[in-house]
Amino acid sequence: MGRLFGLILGLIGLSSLCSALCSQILPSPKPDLPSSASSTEPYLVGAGSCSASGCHNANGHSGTKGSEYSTWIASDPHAQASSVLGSDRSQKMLARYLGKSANTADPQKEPVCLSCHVFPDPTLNQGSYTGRFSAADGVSCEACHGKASQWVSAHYQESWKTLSSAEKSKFGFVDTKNLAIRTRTCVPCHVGEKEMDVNHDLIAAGHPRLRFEMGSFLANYSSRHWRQTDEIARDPNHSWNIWTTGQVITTKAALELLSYRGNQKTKPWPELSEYNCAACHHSLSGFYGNLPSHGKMLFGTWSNLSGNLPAYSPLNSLWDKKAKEDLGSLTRLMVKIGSHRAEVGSLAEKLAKKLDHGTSHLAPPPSPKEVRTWIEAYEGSIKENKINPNWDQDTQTYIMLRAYFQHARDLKKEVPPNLENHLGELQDDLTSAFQTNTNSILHSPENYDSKLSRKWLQKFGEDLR
Amino acid sequence: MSTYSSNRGFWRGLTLGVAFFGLTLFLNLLTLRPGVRGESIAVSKAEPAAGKPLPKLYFGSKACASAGCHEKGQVTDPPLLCRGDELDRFKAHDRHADAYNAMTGKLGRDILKRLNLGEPQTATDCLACHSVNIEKGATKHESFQLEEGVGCVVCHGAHERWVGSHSLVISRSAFRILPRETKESDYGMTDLWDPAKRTALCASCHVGNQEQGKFVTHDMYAAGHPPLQGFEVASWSNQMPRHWQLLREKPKVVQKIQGHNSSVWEESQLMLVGSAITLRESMRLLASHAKTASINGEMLDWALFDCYACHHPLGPRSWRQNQTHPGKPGRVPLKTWPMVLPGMGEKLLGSKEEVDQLTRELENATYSRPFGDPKKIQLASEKIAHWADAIAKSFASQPLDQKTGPKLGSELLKIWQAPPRDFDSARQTGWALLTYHSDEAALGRNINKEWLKFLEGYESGLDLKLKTGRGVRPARGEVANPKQDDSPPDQFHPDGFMGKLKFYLQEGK
Repeated sequence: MGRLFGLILGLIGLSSLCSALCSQILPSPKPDLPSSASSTEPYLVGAGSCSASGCHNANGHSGTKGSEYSTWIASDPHAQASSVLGSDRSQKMLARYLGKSANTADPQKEPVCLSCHVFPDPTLNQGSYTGRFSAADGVSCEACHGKASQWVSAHYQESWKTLSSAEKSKFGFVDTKNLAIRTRTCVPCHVGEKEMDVNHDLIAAGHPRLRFEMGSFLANYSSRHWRQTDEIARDPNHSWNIWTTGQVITTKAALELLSYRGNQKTKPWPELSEYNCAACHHSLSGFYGNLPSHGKMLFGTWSNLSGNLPAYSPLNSLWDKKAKEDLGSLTRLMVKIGSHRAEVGSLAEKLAKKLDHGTSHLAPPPSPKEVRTWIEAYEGSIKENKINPNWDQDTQTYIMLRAYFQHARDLKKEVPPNLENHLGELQDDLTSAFQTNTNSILHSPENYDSKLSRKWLQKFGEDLR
Repeated sequence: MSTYSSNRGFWRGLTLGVAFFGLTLFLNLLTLRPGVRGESIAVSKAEPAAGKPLPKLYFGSKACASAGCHEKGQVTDPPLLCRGDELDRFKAHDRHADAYNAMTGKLGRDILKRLNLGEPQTATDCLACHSVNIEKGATKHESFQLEEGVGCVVCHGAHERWVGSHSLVISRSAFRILPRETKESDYGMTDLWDPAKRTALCASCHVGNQEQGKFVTHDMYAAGHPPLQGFEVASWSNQMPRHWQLLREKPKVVQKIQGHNSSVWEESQLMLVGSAITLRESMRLLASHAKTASINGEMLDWALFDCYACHHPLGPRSWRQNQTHPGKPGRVPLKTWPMVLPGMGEKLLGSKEEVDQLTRELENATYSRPFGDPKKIQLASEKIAHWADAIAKSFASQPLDQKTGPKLGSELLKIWQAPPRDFDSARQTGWALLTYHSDEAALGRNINKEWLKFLEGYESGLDLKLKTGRGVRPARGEVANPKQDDSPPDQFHPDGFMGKLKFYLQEGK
């Protein structure tokens, strides 16, 4: 607490200094943009550099222009990413993970934690870093917007606005207005990659399971420091496009992570976090042979690698015939759960490459008829027992329908009056499947009754008629 | 009658007293052998050559009930060695008689369907334990019925030689005094009085035996087979219920023949030997699976692991997260209950704690990756099987008497100084304590009845009274589906158990 208070005091001091500087710099009519061919690598300058009250620290309402920093520091959970590592819970978690006693485990020095909690530079606490960035900032401005050493003093100048996204990127600036680029900044931590891997060992030690979906995460990001109306003004299809973009990039990231896990012989295998939690983690009472998994692991239920994707899912058009065969082989190998890690690794790598340019031509939003046709076909497959959707899959379906609905509303299109109510009720069913004791919200619920989805699908079909 | 006269060669082979030889031959023609409704039994003519296995013949229980032998009311000549009402007890209470029926009820049919195993009578994977698979070359007597489930000869030996010899008026008195080993080796009557042999036989189904094709796979569980419970031979024998007498209950003359020492903890000795044999069998099962898995580059069957390692709710405040488990979070432990009693027994013998080191070796092999390293698991489990076999012999050769017996109770309670790892492990200690107190009562020593009531009753949460066993047997084919609210392993909380235990132990003082 004391540290946080100190930090805030320090930041206030720093921001007043910065605002003084900014007020001198801003009127300058002819700014000099630094050469993009700078020989030095861009480096982090720290969130404090953005916190001038005249710049991003206006302390206005959440999401208003100029109050980005104040929104972040006051209410964004990313700002707490580093400080949670100091908690008792984190220490115990790491101790369990490493098999050490609690007092010898230090999450604030542990690369496996820092790689996401002090993103993007986990070496910050290692003593070699001398810059202005503080590890206490956690996941701050430059984590998403790019290391700012080369653009921090340029980006508020008039001439900066004339630059293209590609030109800005040469300064190390990340164009987060581009949805694909934005999603790519989220997935390394929220899906995982290489050494930033929330695997089953870490989950078993107490870390919440990662389950990321771009559209819903943004919609629920209440501490957003920008206005959604601006997004829709820029792109009327925003609500739909963020779903499609998220589908492609998240699935690609999941495949790349699987490929890494399969190929990296030193990592645990089989990697149990690749599977549906509830396939194993369910109580034994009362089920006796009635579970959809029938004693098998369920693979890829969240990462859209299994299940019945709608025709308008961007993934469907990206998987060609060969890729679909590969997906089948991948699923078989994963369900067989043997020593096939290398085969899994290379198949996943091959499949991930198929999605390389997956966001360059995203299909437009479907018509109500298209959605209805899919719902009816999906419902039919459930009735005929061809598929038996689980919580993961039903939640993905819900999110897709929610994106569709939101998009229609953005465009002030007429939306079937019942659809919103029904979506709300489905949401209740999906969330009430969790046990009531709060934190379990991050796990696949064992109590979810997949028969529910049929009821809702029927209603959605009717709503869209 | 003519059937018997043609069979003299067979009876000639019996090692009976020379003086009775001629008389035996004569009387064989006159005496009824056990048969069904007075019908004669076709007996194989083949005489076993030395060293070759005895020919097998599968009788049904009617053969044992006939001629007024093992069903009450018909007991014409109360036998000395047995009680005479074995089949009454077996048919009225023993769920072994229902083993096949379990396959034909709704749950059984559902399981067969889900596993694509066809009809009950041909599902050999199931019949291996739910009745018996008759080997090639063995003969099936007309009295045999699959529907009898795990019937008499499945345990007592499916051999014509002993069935005839032990029942014929003329041969039985001579047969009775033969050593148990001879009855087994020369006549095919399984020596169930040997604790090690009995336990190995029970464990072949209640734990599993790969060589005999007896193994409940994870697929079977997933299709609906109820979980196999941790097995303890002494208390489970009692709860079948027993259709035999303990040595201490038998007539003095029999006790004398069997060399019974009236001051021994008879059931506890069975429990100790049995626990080591159960461990040996579970380790052999594990080793044989690990060997196959390691050759084929596969995972071990999940049925070999602790069910509740995966099958537990994920809520963050679950009791599991407060327990200290050896090894790494996220790595799946094996079943630990078979280790509990042999580990305690080793301390009782005062030998070095070799098993702790062996256990660690197995745990390291298991935790080195999710679902373990089969090659390392094979090596470690073979070592433990070897150790368990040796310790079973030590238990068998040192009778629990006035000197060593009383120590057992305190050693058993020492196990519970730390919270039990899981429900099945806690039950091992619970059953062992019940067995120990049963001996104590028989020996006229003081026992705390309140404490026993707690142990056996609902409150301990251990559920030591088996649902299979003494209760009223459900109607034919009606093997109850386990109910949703009837799942002690899910509801057993080691910490809560420890609290109640401490309370009762204090009250008891």
